Amino acid sequence: MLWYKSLREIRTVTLFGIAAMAIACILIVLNEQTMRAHAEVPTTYVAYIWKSVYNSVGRDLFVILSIILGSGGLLQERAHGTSGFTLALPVSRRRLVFTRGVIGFCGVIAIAAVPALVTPVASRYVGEQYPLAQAAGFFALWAGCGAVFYGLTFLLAHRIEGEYISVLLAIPSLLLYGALINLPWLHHLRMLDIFDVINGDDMPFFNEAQHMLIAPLPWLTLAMMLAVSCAFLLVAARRIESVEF
Amino acid sequence: MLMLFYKAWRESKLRFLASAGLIAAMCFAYAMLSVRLYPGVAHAHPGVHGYVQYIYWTVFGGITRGMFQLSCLLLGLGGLQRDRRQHSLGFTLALPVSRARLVTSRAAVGTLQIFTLSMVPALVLPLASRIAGQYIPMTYVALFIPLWIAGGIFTFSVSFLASVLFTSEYVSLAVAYVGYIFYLAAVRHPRLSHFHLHAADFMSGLFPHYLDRTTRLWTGNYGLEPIVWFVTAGLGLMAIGAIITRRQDL
Repeated sequence: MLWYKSLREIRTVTLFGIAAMAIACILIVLNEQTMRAHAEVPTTYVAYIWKSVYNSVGRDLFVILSIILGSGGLLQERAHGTSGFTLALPVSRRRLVFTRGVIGFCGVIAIAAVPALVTPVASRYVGEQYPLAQAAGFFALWAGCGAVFYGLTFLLAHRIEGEYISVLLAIPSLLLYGALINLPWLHHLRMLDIFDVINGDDMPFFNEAQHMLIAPLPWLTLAMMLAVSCAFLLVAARRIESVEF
Repeated sequence: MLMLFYKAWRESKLRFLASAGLIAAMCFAYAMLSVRLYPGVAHAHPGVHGYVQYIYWTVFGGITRGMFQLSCLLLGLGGLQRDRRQHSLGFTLALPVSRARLVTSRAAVGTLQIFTLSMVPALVLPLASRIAGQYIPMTYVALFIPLWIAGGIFTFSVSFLASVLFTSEYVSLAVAYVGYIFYLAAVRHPRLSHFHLHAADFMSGLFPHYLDRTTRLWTGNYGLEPIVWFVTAGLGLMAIGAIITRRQDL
């Protein structure tokens, strides 16, 4: 029942996110001829998909939806006056937070999977081909990086009370992280730059000329991202345990 | 009416102060860390040859503008639908004022907040630049204020309308943001691009060629018409929100 409760809480945003992402991917594919014809430099179909889906509209949608999915929680329920009902359930607060955290992450995964499923199918419809392996690779990258976006916002939402403040603070926090990782003395840690890892830009596993993933994915980096996200969840749960409602 | 303004202010105060603080901090940090960050910005944008272009790409045409747009979207949320969700709608509707007045007060406070946020870079950057031993002309930063106000009001009105239509604040935010992204992507389409409808490019001074695209300096071609159009579009969306609210069965 707890899982169902969490699912009900994120259902609308997740379904809306899936629909929005699917529409974005379909429109990008359907407009490929017009957009490529007006491009400043000749662009291959694969490069066009990367630029439009994985480096532009699709990525922006995914990042903000991951952040919005992470922004709910017990502190926000307190503002709505419903936290009393949730806390009256015969389960520990830790379990409440974990359930909400896991279900939210499933929402992130579902949205990340949309381009991987829609783009290859829609491409076939317009007589083009987008490799399924590429789409699957980017799905893994989005899932890993999305875990960090989601986890950070989830933590902020469980530490700071106030509407939308977690959303407002998550983005500059991530930007600050991106700026710090680009400083010269941290340059050798490029694999930790989530904003580049998410689309492969300037990464050793990505071919800039072909706009394709060429080498094995950075599984260690992705595993670290998942671990960081789990750590965020753990800190959020510990914080909620000591809050007086 | 003053009490309604105060109510709207109290509801959005935290969001506004956090937004103002973040934009000010970003402007200050970019000015103070210019020596360290300049090489990276110059590498990413080949047209960067001096401090003014660096500030353009980090503040007026870069991440800080994006932060301002997000702030505008967040400030537009709230209102009667949120009151309904929080079970405080009865108290609000019991006030001896019309729904139109309730909506107008929220729109007016939001517009004033955007007005203030638009001025933050113009207030912070010249001072922070002087502290950092750099110089940026006041006229350069001041000319962005009307563009940010007009673009900000339009952006605000998108989430304002979404907040009227959807009960959940997070659904409103998702719809507003996704709608805004779709709009920005749609107006880049070759068939629409010559209409100069891109709010982000307009706020950056790129449409309709307020700035020289190579030097990123003002050309002297400062048209008021696009500013009026964006403000009118924003006010129009807010008016639609007010009309819907009047007819809503809450």
